[in-house]
Amino acid sequence: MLRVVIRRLTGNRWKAISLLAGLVLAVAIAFCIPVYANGILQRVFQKNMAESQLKTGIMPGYLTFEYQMSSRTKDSAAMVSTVENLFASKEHIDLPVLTGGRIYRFEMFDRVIDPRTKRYERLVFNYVENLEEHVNVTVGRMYDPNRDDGVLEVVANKKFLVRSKVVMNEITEFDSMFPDEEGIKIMVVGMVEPKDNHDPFWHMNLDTSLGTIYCGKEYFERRIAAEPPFSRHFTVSFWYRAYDYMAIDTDNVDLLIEGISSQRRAILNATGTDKITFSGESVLAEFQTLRRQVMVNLYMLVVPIFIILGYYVIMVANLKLQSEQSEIALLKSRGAGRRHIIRLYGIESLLLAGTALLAGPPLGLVIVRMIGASNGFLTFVNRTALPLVVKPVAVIMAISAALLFVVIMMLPAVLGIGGNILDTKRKKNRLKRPFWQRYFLDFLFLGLAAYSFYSMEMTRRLAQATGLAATTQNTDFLLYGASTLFALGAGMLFLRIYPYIVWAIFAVGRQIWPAGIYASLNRIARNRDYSGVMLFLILTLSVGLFSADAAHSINTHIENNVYYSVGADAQYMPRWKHYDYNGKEVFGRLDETGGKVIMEDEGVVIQSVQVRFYELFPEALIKLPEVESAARVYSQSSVNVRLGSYIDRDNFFMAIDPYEFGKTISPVWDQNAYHINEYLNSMMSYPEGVIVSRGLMDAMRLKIGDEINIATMPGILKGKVIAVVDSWPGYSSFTVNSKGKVIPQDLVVANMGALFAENPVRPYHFWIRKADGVSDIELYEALKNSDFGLTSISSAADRMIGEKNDPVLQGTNGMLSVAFLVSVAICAMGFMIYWIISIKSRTLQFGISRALGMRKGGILSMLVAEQLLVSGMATVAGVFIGKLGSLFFVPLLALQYSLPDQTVAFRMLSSSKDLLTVLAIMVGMLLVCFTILSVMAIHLKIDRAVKLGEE
Amino acid sequence: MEPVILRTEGVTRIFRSGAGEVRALNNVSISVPQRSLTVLRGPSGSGKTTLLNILGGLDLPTSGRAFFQDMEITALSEGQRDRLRGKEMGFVFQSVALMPDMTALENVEYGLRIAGMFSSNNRKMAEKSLKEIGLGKRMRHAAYELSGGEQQRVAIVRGYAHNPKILFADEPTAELDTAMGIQVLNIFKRLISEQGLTIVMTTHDPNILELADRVYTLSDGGLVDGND
Amino acid sequence: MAMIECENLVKIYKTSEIEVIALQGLDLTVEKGEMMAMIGKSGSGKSTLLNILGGLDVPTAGRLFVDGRDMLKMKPKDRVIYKRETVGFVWQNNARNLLPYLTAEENVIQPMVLSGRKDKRRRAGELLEMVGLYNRRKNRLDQLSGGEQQRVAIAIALANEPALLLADEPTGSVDSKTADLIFDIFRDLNRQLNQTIVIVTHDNRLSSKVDRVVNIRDGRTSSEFIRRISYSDELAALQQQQQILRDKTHTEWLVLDRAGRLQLPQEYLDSLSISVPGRMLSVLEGEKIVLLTEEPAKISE
Repeated sequence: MLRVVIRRLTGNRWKAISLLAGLVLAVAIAFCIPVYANGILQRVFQKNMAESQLKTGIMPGYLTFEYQMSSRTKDSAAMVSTVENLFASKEHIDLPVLTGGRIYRFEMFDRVIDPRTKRYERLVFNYVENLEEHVNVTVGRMYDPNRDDGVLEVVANKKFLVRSKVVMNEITEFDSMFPDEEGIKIMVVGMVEPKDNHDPFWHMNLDTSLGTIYCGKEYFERRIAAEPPFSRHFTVSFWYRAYDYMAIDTDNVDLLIEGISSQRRAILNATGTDKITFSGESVLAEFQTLRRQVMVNLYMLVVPIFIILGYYVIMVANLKLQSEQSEIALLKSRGAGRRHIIRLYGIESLLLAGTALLAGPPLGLVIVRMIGASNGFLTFVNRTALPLVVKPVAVIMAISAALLFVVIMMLPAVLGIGGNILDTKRKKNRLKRPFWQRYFLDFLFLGLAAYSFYSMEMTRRLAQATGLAATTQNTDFLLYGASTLFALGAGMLFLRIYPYIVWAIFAVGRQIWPAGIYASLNRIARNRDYSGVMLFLILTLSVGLFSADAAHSINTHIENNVYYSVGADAQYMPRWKHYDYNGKEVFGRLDETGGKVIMEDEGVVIQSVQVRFYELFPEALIKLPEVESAARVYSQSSVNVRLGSYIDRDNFFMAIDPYEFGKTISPVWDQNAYHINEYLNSMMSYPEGVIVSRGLMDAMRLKIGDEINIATMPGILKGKVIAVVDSWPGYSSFTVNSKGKVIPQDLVVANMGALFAENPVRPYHFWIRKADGVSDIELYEALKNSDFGLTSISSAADRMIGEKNDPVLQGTNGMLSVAFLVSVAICAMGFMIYWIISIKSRTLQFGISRALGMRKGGILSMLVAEQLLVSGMATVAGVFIGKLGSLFFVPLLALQYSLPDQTVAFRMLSSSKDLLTVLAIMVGMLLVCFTILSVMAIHLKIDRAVKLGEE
Repeated sequence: MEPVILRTEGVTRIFRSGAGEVRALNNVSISVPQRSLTVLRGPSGSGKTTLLNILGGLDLPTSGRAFFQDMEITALSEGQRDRLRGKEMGFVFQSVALMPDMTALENVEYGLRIAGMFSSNNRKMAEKSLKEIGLGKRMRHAAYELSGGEQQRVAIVRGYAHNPKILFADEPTAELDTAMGIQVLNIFKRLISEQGLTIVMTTHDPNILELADRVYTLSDGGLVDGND
Repeated sequence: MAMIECENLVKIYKTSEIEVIALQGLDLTVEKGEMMAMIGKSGSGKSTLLNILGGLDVPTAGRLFVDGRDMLKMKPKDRVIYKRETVGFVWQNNARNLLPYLTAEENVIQPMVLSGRKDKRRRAGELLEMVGLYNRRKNRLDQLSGGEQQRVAIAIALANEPALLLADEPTGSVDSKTADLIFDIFRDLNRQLNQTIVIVTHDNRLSSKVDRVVNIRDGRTSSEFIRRISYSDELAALQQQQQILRDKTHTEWLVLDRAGRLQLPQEYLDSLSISVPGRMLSVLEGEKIVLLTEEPAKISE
């Protein structure tokens, strides 16, 4: 049986290959998604973890437990061993351990070193497990823990020996902090240095201002075991483990979080304390959300691709089945029952699916590479490749896809094995209304799409009003599915009407149509066979265009957001020098009012001084070759604005020099009623004028001309409202307050001249526009080395890279690119196959026409007319419906991409380049296919064609 | 004796296929008088259909020549033969050869169009002819809705609607019952006498043989009674 | 019991637009081991009858038993088995007989796979030997000539030892030599294996070689030609190339159905310009029945 099936397939080679192509794509894509998700998430996870280390200074994956011995601790030895076991076991947290151990710490001894000033030194003892392995003894020797003459041998680090008055190799006595406790005699016998400062061993930072001293654990154990229990006070034990966070598998984050909790619980049960930290824990929790976002995003983007592939596979399987009708009739006439034939097709499908399972995954890996390198729609960059790990889930996905498509492939066979050889002739001739018209699927699909659209639009409006990023996952899934449903429904509806349109054209010119065109018009008006391929073309084009538009809109949205929120190429804060009122430069920390500088030593405030600042002007910066233009911008958030007795809080205040501002900001498309320069011009005309945001205007019921009081840090500023805007560079209409809540934020923009005319100068930023071809590094160096110095700089390019590296965006761009490419490829393949088979099956008719006297040119005109009416019209309809779908559904992407702190509203954008690409490909395809078909049709041997018909 | 409108000289046709060579016609010479009903008979495989195709310019012989009136059709280009065929000849095939989606009427109009006739009279003429052959009520039905016999009749009407000089018919009455077959023959006879049509056909039907003006019997690619 | 017992068989095709009565009460009896031919034009119903006999179509009414099986009451599942094991079919068009992607041998084996036979290869070899193509058993469809394809088709049809062998225009597309070869195969099958064979044909030569020819017209059996001289005698007496007209070797009989109806030959109707439908008078004159188109003239006194 198997051999027969193989032989059959090789006989029908091209159809089998086309079918296989669709299958391989399906398997490849199903396979690639988990692999890609895993790769990107792994990369993001490690990056986030590493970043948290930068922020907190603690390596992630560092589990610590601090236990303070108290008088109530009974049987501390047993407790110690319990905790040791808990830490050692992998029951809760199963990760490789880089290092770990136990630390005892004690701080109870001090001595006075200067009786006059009562300055004292306090001793902090540490026992660190495995110290010897991680230090070099640079002077002297290691301590001997077994010294028994009442003197405790210790070693110390350099800092201690420098800072402390203790001398090496001398017995020094310290008193206990507690009057009725014994003192201690120590001798520093050696100086130690870490072998490797970067060893995670050193992450438990035990250093004090007086350095660190180490001794053996015997001392501590004696203390712990001793009576009275009072001696146990101030003995703190730490247990720590440094887990290798690089080994965390993103799939297991859930498990890890759970494991940490259960570890906590276990220790709490054992010791009654839960001072347990796991560094990077917040990253884990955030990561969970991110993971969900990425997965949902990927899976929902894949829906249209699978719809297209499914349609394609059914179409080709159906064509194949139809062409095999006479063979099936043969088998049936020999007594093959329905089951036998279904088994035949079943084996065939399984064989094809099996081959696809072999070829698909490698292709899937290629696709993963491609998505991982995507930097925008159909643009790819050379990043470090994603780690490619194939987990069972990927294999399961691939197999599921294969099985799904086996079912899809079998559908035509299972549903169609009805008639026998007699029926085939009769069925062919019956008027076939496409099945969807019978079941009114077009209205159903459109209805579903409309409903989804409506509900998503409502959610979007809500989200826009409240500023919440509404990532309800159900609506996300529906979005891409709905747009495809829309394309299908609209296409079906169009195809319902189309034959009548063609009939009208036919009837109108009945007298004048030359024979070829007459035949084509008639055929298309009458015979609904075309619906299938036209719908196919419409579907693939719509999905392709939608993908392109979606990607374009999303990418532009994000880019614009970055440019708009940074405002210019870079925001730069120079090193402001503080001067006291005598003109002397003062050093220290600026307080919250911005008007005082606090000088402190070792945490103790020595004095605070009123300071002033001298204005810095942009000309100095513009002189730099790296800077094309610069503008001063003073900004402050949480500013109160008062009109009469009404005070509005949480506003964002900006003071600018309009002219320079206009020259420096990034050119982005306008969000407001007028071009931004108009607003800047009016600011220049009215020095006392302020521009407010619409929210503020509404909240305070402002009119143009009203005078408002703005409570800025430099002082109260009076401003006259001269204009209202919806958005402004550097301003975002929502912000996150100190409690982490998202609140709306309004804007006031004033002239800097007006602000500092009456008020003392306070530090402000410079917004910079880079000269052409200047990199961020070059700008950074130039500014750092300039007279102004550099406190901080944030650049748009930097943020852009950060945004572009967002895994959700990458995945989206990648998948949309894949969707686009797949739709175009499948469109081409399905198109070719369909037409080749269609022409082949009509050889009889061509033969007849030729026999009746039609010339080759006439046949050509028949084909051209047919192509125009079918493929041409389908292309037009597909583009139209695709654009319509984009208009409706792309803006709904705002649901996913509207962030609370965005400055720019999401807008639907198309690139005419994409449309042209699609059209060019379609036309190219049409021409190629048409050439092939014409050659086929024209070189027909008339007599043989007619003879064929005699069957 | 009418002048000869169609003739062949020593026509041989060899087909090459995967299974070898087949000699469908072997040195056949016939002549068809104008306004005659000339019949080619013989069993399947005798080459009569091949001969018919060559006479109609659908096929070229491997050797030998064929003439329509005084023109050597075997020397014409494909395009010229097409044009000749479209205008001067009509075809009725053995198998159903209608465009399935067109109505009976449209099929006939289509044929007229191919023959280059675009007059507004086309429709009326087609309707009249279809009525004559008994398809008055059915002519607006699509071809696939008609029975085999009805389809054949439409094909026949299509064959002569454009007033060709010759009508080639390959087993035209094969699918018809005897009564209808007689009717068709009557129409043929009328076409010959009233419109000066010449009819060359192949058949098994003994009745037609009786009515034929000239009969050629073919067997295994050669004429049974030798060439003319 | 006869192999085929067919009485008043009716088959009506209904589509949404038209109703076609393909068989209008056909009677036919074929004995076991008989080899006979059916002739008739397309539309006469012979194809319909053939399809029904082959299990590819279901009769609408009447009585039909093939090899003792009631064809009207047969369930679809049984029909599948019938097609597999009771009947062997040789189509006219060879694309319908052979699967193009299998060799001749594999084609012959294929029906045996369906019926689950054990000694497939051996029997395939035997059958191909019988039709003289054993040495071509590894060839595929496109490597065989028309005649060879037809012969393989016969072997295929015989694969499951069917009780009845049906052939639709077996010599339709071959030259006369091959036609003779094919006929000889049929004859050998009939003589040596007592295979019941029903051949549908246009071919006068073929039909003139079988003993019994049934003429189907307008959905009924209209007449039968029974061989007058035995075929072997005829062969001995005549040279093969010459064409023999049927009326020299066969006698044409009108078939009388159970209701006593018969069909008058078309030529008689034509020569007397009798139109159908119509009426005739019948008069019994001694041992003859005379049919008149009009009242006999009254004998005037």
